[in-house]
Amino acid sequence: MPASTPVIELKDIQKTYRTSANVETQALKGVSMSVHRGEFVAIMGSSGSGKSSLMSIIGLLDRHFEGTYELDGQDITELSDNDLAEVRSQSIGFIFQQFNLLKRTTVLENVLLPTTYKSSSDDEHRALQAIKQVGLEKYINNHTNQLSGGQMQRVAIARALIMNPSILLADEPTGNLDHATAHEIMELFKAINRQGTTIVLITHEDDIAEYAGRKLSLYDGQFKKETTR
Amino acid sequence: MKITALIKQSLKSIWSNKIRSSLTILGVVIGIAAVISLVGLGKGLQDNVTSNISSLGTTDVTISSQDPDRQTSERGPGGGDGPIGGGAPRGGFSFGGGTTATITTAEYEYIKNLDGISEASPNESTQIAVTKSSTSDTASQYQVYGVDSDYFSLEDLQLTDGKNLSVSQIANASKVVLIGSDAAEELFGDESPVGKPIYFSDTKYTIIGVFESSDTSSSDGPGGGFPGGVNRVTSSFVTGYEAWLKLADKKKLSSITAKASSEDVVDSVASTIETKLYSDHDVTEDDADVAVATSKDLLNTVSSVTSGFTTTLAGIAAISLVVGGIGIMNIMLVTVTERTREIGLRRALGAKRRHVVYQFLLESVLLTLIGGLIGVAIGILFGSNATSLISSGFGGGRLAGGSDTQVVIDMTTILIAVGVSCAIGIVFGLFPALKASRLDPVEALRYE
Repeated sequence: MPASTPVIELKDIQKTYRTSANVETQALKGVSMSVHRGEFVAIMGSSGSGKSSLMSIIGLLDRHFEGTYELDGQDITELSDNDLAEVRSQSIGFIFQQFNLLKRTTVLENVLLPTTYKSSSDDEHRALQAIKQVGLEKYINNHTNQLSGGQMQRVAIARALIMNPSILLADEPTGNLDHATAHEIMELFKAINRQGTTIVLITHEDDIAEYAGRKLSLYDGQFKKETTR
Repeated sequence: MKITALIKQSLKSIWSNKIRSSLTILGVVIGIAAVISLVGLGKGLQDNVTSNISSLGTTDVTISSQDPDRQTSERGPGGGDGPIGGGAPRGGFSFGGGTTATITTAEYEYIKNLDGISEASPNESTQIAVTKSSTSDTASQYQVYGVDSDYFSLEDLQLTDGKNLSVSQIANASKVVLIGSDAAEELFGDESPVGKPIYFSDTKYTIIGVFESSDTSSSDGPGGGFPGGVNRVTSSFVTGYEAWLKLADKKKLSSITAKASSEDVVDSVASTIETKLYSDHDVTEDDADVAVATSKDLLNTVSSVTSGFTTTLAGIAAISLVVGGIGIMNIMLVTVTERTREIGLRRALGAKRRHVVYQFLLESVLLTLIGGLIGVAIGILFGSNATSLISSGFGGGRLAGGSDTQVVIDMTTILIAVGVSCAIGIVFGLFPALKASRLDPVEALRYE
């Protein structure tokens, strides 16, 4: 394990959902993990294992949990809703299973979307760089609905990269792709990781998780074992 | 936050739902167009009436009797003794039939000789049976006016034959009379009536002159407030007021028309007359049996009536704006639901709650603003065409004597309309926008 300060430090995270019938379901039963800079970690688990809950917490989308979470050495449990939005915008790049691109909008505009909320003078330049990094420079002005699934996910990756986040958080990024495309995308993730970007990947597929340097298996709200390659 | 990026994204979203967006803004378009054209019409009407009243002269002072019990809150415009609409005194619309005459001839003399009054004349009229000879069986009803020698210049009348009433003829109640050009034609045809006798209820009078209206452009009598006025002064007789009092069997006058020497002294002269008459009659403003009105008073009354009219029209039109606003709210709620995942995505990418509020407010304001601008354009278009419509609708385009009613749409109206449409966007867009901002990002991202 690299001996630097962890980017993500989770300690004894517990998450309980209360359904309308006042039934309590514990999705996370004391999860602890740390991810160091430059790591590529895969969190595995079947549906209902709590990986979506964990992903929401890591992505700062859910702040209602017990335990402590430090991101880049900063305790995020004390942060306000607005501060969390700020941290998300700067530190976390999201990649979703359904790509979540804006329709009838060009590749460039999609990649520029995060800069709507935090802009600087070199937005355009960084967007072009990110697009180049995912290999879509030929499609900059194409509308996203003219692209293939793999290309769409590349747009989403470029969108996640534009703010130079501390971590890329990919939630089942290959779930909507065919086998060959899925592996192309994973190769891209690997390349991005090699350039120094920390990646947390959530997946239920073993062959996809193989691309990560470390695998964590979530089972019934707890980590089962840790495998380091 | 990059507002230009948000505007661009909002416009794109509006554009990508063209049919829905245009149907939605239609409500606002209709509302704004209705407000613009109705307010424009009201203003046009107001301008027309005001300018017509102003053209009658702003130095006019009307003194008229009134029923102390039936007093109106304002100093009412002067009403003659005659029937409704019958040869209304200048600057007044005569609806005041049957008021007891309360002004003495001595008071009239006082007014006439007052400093600051340049011309004055009683303005009395009554319907009298007129015959050409004492033995004739067929009498026609004519309006007979009791006046002073200033009457003709006050009323813009000119003598075409014979002479005006002399001071002594008026003072002595001489049985002499002037005949209006139309009445002369009816009774005497092409013959000159001057020097001929005429019988008012069997009393013999001598015609000493013929008069006609100076204003050749209008066939209406002076001050004849309504198109094609029923009783025109040119089809009536005019005699001295002393003679008229005998003829009508009255002791006092009920209406005096006067002109102040300049606009500056109108108010002071009017109040001097009022004070004098109140003290003579031993009354206060609350139980006054006489009213002194200036054209300015009339102008104010008419202005307040027409602006009330305009406001009412605008209010009715505003109801359609509210309906349009509800349409906006409805469609924004649909949009928020449809774009739940996008909202979740934006929150994940760093949008704060208020950014989401701004985005949807911006979208609804853009919708209503576009609607407002189209509405203004249609309102102006409709307004300019309405002018001709109104003209054909109101008896040849003559409202209160001559000029066309122009629909007036000024910059203020346009700015207010644009402002109102933005306000509608904010008011009716706020709830959907707040709803959007309160979505939980985790659930929003999972929304199918």
